[in-house]
Amino acid sequence: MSELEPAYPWIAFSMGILITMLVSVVRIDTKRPAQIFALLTLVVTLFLSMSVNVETPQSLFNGVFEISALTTTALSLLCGLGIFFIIGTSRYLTKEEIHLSDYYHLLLILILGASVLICSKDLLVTFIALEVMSLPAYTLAGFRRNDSRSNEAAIKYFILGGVVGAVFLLGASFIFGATGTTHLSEIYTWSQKAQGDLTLFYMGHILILISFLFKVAAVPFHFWKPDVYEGSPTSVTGIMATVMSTASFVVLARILHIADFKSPELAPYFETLKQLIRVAAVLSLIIGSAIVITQTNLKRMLAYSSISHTGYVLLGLLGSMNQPDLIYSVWIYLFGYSLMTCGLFVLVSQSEPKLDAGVELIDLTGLMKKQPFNVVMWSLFLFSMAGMPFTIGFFTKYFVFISSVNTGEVFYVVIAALCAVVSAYAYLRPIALMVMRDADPSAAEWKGSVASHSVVAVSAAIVFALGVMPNALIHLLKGIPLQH
Amino acid sequence: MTEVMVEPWMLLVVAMIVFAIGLLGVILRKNLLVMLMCVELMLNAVNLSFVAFSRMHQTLQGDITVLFVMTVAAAESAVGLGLIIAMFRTLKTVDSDQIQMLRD
Repeated sequence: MSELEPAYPWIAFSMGILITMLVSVVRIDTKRPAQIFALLTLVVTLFLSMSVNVETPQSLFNGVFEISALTTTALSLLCGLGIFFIIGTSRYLTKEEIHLSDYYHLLLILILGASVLICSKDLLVTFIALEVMSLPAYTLAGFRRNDSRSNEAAIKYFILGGVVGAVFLLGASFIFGATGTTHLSEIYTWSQKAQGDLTLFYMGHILILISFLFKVAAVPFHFWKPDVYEGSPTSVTGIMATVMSTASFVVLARILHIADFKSPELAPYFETLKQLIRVAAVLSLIIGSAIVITQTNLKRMLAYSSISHTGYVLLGLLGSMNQPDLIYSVWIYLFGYSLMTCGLFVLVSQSEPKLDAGVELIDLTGLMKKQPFNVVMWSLFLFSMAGMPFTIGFFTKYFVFISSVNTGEVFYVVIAALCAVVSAYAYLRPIALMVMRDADPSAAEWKGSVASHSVVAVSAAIVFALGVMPNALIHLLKGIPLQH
Repeated sequence: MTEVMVEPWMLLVVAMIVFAIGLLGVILRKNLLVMLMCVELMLNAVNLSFVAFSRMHQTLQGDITVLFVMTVAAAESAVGLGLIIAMFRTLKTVDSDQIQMLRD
């Protein structure tokens, strides 16, 4: 047995990317080979990651790479989402005349970056994985080359992402200066006996925190998200909203638990840190839910909705800062949110707007007469977003609220519940348009392939099944700690 | 002639100044190419600060980090230039003030 055995899923993934690249070089004019090899890579990785034995967490490559229940479960989730998106948006990509072989291997590199980001236990590896995830994302955002809005989204995303990468590195260099290491577990050991002036460490930590709050688009670092979401191709927006934000949130959780904050030296700073997270969470909730009801563009609406969902996850992280074992509420949130967002974006990608404008809410009018099945799917996902019972969205919110109440953050739960009520209006409005209004003359056509309908149906089934019987999922995710 | 020792803190001061120049450049300049250069400047400032801290701690870890950061920075500028060219083809401009199709 090789000591690399736990890393097989990641190694197989990288090999698969190389093969996909090779295939797309040889047969550049057709999409099939690249698509099939991309799918094959993800399926193989999915099976390998589910078969890794993770009863005892292991670290590889001098301890910079962690393989544990958390990282393999997250890798399975990312691969599953990748498979859903590749199958579900195949028709959309053909329709948009996107260069397919490049698209698929960039997509795979993005997912690989995200999966390494989750495992990384070293600030340098985190930076590299972050860039491996982000660089393909900038390119994919600009993939509708002839559409100036897509170009604008890519440029904005690139410049801001570059600045954020530099801010992260500056923070990492400060932490390196304070501790003499970039290794997370060594930083933790250092913090247990840290003495004297720790300003450099605090500055570094805050900078790193800011860079990841930016990546997950917490207010006040959210301004890039609506523009990037609107301009990017819908399939790419879906990947950003699921794969990239899941990976960023896991890293954010690691960063918030980077040091032993129970030691008396660090305790005052820890209180400040919690205050910062509270402020970011409340602002994200309020601004996200307030603006989401004013939007008429569907992708912008989903962008603001994801900003408000960031607020809920931050509340979950706040609970885990008070009591580390409550981190499972964050895992449940990320899992449920990724699933329903995936379904929604595949649905959005089925639209065929008449004008060159994006997908507007008005395009949904009269869908009931055209596609009654899809109206049921839309309603299920939107109900789940709003947190209605019998969908996974209810339990994601429920556990975050429970963990906040248990740690004495009742005031913030009240605010979050009010915001949920306000944003429910935004989620119910599209349903009302679909069911009660006749088709507007300018409304788009909606056409999905069999593949994309089945992806939607499968994710809807999971969203509903987990909303009725969440025990299996909760049992699975409850046992996943954040390792040190 | 007296010999002047370069202390790590001096390097740090330079690094912070360069970083600030880069950050201000991204915020204030309108030309996308200049903004790209400013991002690279920020990354290089961070490299300097890694070297300074590495010297302070008498380890090589910081110096090795610099090599990786340089590689990533090269990849980043390649992607950035590609995106700017793609945008120039559709919009015929590299002025960040003139790209504002995406608004609330």
